[in-house]
Amino acid sequence: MKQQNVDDVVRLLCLYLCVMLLFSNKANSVNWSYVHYMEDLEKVKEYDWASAVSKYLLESIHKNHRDISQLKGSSILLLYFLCEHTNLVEVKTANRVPRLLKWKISDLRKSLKDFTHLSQLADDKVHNTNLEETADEKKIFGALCAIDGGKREFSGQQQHEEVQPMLTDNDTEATAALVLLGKKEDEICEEEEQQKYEIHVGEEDEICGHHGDEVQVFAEQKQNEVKVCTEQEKDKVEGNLSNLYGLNDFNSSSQPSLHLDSFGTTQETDSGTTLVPNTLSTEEAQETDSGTTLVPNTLEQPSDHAMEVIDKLKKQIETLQQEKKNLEIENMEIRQKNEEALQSHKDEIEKLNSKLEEAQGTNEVHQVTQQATANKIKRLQKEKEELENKLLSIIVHQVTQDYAPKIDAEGKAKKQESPTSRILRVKERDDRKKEKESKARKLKRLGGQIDMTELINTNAWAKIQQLWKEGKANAAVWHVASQILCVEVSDIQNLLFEDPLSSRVMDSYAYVLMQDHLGAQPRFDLSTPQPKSFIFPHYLRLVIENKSAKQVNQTLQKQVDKALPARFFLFSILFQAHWTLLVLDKEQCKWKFYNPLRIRHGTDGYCGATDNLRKVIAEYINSQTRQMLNIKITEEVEIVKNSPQQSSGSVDCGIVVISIIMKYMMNESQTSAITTDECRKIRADLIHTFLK
Amino acid sequence: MPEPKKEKTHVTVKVQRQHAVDVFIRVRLDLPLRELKLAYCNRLGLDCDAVRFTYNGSRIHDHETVSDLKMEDGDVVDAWYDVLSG
Repeated sequence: MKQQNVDDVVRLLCLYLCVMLLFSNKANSVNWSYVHYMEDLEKVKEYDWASAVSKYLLESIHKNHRDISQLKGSSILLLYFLCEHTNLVEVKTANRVPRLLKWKISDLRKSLKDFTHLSQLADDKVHNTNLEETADEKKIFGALCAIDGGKREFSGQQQHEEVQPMLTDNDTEATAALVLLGKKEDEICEEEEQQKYEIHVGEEDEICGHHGDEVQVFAEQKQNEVKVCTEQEKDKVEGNLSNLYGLNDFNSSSQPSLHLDSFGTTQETDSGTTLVPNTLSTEEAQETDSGTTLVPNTLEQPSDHAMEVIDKLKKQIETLQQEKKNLEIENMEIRQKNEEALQSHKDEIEKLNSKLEEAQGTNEVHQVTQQATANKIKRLQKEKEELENKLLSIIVHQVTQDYAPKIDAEGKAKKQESPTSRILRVKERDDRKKEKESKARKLKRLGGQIDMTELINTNAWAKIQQLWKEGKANAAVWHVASQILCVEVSDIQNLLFEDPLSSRVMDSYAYVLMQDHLGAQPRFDLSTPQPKSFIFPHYLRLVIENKSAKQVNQTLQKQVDKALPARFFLFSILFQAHWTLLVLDKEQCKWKFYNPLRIRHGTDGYCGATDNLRKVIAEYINSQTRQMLNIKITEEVEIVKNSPQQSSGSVDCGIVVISIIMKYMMNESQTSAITTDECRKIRADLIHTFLK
Repeated sequence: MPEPKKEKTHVTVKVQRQHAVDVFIRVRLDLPLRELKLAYCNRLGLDCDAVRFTYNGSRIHDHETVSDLKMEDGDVVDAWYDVLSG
């Protein structure tokens, strides 16, 4: 068999012993902590197994004294303890090694029949003497210790556990001693948590406070013991079981190393207490509960001093922590301030950047708009020149056409003409040429050079701007309540921008012109002045359509009767979004039709739209004035060929009609042409009239 | 005994407009014609401020009534839109 296998069997047996007998628990399972101690078989015997077993048992009793079924550990030891300290069981063979062979344990049951509590035991049955090592034991343990004589050095942690107050005079003291033992060996109890441990300490202090003195005594004797131990090292080889210790690893330099006292020396130094063979060492405890075990081992006096120091240190720590917190708070505040300042700076920078960008953007926009307007002006000027040229050519063409029929007629009559008539014709031709040239010159001179805005005075401008600010396009600028006539802002805008003329403006301006005309007429008596010309509203043409004869008659009575004294009846005609003018010359019994866009070929549809009007008006006038003037008005109409024409592409037909009406009202002769500038002047006059 | 003639209280007028359907409206004699204008404009969904009404070539004032203008059954009232033209 290999040596390793043998060792393994030994280890397993040892573990079995631990589990089944020494450290038995309910589950019969092996705690891993024991395996660790079995690694080195040579060291196994150096551990203080006795104290460990005792402590384990006492700890378990302490924990589970209310419920014995939960008890762990080697409980049979309690019986032998009882046997050792009482006379209950007769000692059959004294001085047996090991001691448990001294008694037949089954006898204990018989002898304990009469007792329910140990306290009922009589004093004479209890041994008050200390345990003493027998001669045989000394021999055996001495032999054992001789083997390991070289390993007598102990770590300092063992010092307070070398001496155990084990024996007492009575049972109560014995239990107290047991408890104390448990206290001293707390650290060995492997699984206990530190909290529980502390609780145990507290409880045990209450229970056996008087033992603290004993411990103190031990502590004071420590130095002496050390000395004794070192000097009489060899003599103490005959020590008890507690001399079985080792673990050279635990020779810590912080505490003085000690040699274990012999049983005899301690007896000599301290008569009040005795040493127990089952003393414990802390090697196991250190291995099982590293770190926590050493603290309770310190003596109480130094611990008090240390506690004071610790308290001081704690206070210092607290003050330092407070200072630290204050500093941290200050730091935080400073950081916050810095961050705020940074943010404000950033905001300012962003604002400045945005302003810069806006300024750049506006500059760019200005430049672009300026360029665009310059280009637009150039383009418009070009267009204007082209249009003027076109207009000139159109007028020239028109003049030539006007005279074309005459020429034809002359050509026909030429054959029959006399020489005198030929002279006249030549003269007429010369006159025509002159007239044509003068017209062309005039047109060229008066080409659209004037800007619309220059024609409007400052007051009107101020009013226009104010109206634009108000922003109400439908607001009335000028109105006559009695006639329900009004002019709105949009109409002024249309006039200003050379847009089409609305019917409101036409009727309103007609009303204004009529008022002026009436005011300008000479008065010969107190009666109302007799107008020379009369302007009818544009809707008269439509009013007389689709009406009963009776209603038409009523309408005409209302509208025409007041105009009868006048010579010229002016009918502004609105047909298919185009302004034309129909004029009745009552003296000459002639209808004249002015069309700003004269139709050169074919019939004029705009003129045809006035057929009904002409017929109705003629009939009415004839019926009203026949007896007085003995005239008869026909429906025949003359389309005026040299009526002023609006420039091509423009929407000035309404303005042209107004200009014609104005000439009639002013009793001026009609011109055959109107320029763009003249149209603009009329628009400006209208604006001034309505914005007065 | 001949029955006494009932006094006429209402007049039915026709409102006509270019390019629109004629609308007949029965108006009480003493009702201001503003109501007629509103009724017509509401019927056709027009803006009342933009429409002009004329009777026999004269504009109709809001406060005038049928009896003021001596309207009769079947009389025609003209409605106009102001038109831009050029």
